[in-house]
Amino acid sequence: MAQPSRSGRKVVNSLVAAGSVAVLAVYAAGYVRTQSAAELLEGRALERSTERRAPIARPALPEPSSVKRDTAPAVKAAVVPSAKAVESREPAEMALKDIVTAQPSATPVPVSAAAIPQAAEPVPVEHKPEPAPPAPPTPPVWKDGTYTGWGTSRHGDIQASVVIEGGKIASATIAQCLTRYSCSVIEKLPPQVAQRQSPEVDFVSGATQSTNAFYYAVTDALSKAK
Amino acid sequence: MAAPKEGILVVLPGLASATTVAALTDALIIRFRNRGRKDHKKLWEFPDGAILTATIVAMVLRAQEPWYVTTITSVIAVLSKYVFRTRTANLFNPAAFAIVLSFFIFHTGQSWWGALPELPPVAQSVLLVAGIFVSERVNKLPLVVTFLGVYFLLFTGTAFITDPRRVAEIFRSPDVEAALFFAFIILTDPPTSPAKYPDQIVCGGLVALVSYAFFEWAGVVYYLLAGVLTGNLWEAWRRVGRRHGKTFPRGFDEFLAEIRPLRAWG
Repeated sequence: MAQPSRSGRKVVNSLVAAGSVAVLAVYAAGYVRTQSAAELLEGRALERSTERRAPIARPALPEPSSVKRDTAPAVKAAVVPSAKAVESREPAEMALKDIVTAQPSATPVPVSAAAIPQAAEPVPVEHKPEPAPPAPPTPPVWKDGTYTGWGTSRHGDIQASVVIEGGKIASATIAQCLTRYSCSVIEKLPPQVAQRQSPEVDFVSGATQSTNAFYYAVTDALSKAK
Repeated sequence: MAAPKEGILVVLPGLASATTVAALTDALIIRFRNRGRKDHKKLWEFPDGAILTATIVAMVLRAQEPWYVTTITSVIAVLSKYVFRTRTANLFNPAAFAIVLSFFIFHTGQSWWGALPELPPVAQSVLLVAGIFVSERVNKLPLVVTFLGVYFLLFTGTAFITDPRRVAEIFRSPDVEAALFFAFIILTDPPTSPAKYPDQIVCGGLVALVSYAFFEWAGVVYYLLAGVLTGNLWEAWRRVGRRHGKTFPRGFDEFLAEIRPLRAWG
């Protein structure tokens, strides 16, 4: 190891100290210059996490009128869960379960007499609700085709490709992964988009930025399909 | 210190298994190597280097990586010390080499949780003070200062010339802590970094330049480590050349001739 003389050591120490000040100055200039860009990215990430905490509005799946008429109270209870329930459940899980609950099913949930709204004819106490008539097909929400969109994060960008068939999301894929991390970390997310008919996917622990980038990419693609 | 933030149960399995298995591997290799040497009185040696390497590997890799990924990466790091060598030292920084390799094998991510990015500012001051102390002890402060200076200069220039969004993260947590941890702990590894100040200044600038290039054009998570591996190559080439009385970049043939796997047994 180099062992400079005492005077040489002093010179080196002075240079190191001056260099450290220069490093701080250059760093500060870069920090200030990128401040607004960082705030923008931070704001988007915060917006996304806020969206996930709030109950998710789903205009894409309008309730059939028959469902509204026959099982309105039960459906309302399922679609608008209590605040406590919203807090205690994983948002993505909530989204999927609630969508499923809101769909008319072949085996309707028995509705108590108190929950049934007043009808024209008297309702017997022992009345078992008849199965709801088959729901009319959900009107197409998105235009058929293949759409791509970009999502941005602090760690790079992701391009998603979304295929719409029959007005519904048939599949979603990661078309380009330009993040610093391998997209294999979020490989489970694309199938969730088709399953949930929504860009709302699970958060992957340790890959929040990539998850956000994928979410925004799918959102961008879907916005082009409207 | 950072474990409670990441979750001790998340961090501990990887850290414990990596250090244990890496230490055992290194101890056995040293034992096997010393068997045939008459100048070694002790057959067994404490594998402190392997423990340090495994700790660095665990602290750089994403805390959520499975324990076996961290462990295998640490074993690769230990093995790389014996596989890639010149006559006097290992070629690459073991932890950096293994982490880059694990990116291609396991698609690993990096969170640099050991750089304490999620803790309050007092933790960063601990990192800074400890880092300066370590760098001073191994006499590598010029290397550290040159690297940080050129590194931030390049990214600051980029922020002024192009879209600042592209490099905003470099100046913020956790990337800034990662750069400091890298400069103080990984870059200053004595066997793979230059001793003389002028060489340190060249090496620090080279590492910063390559790291910047990998960030800008390859956009990969191991950009800092790609820089240090390049610096390691430069240093090994320079050392071998000098030993043969040649000035860099001459001496490449001698350098190639000297790199031989398992040289430790030669």
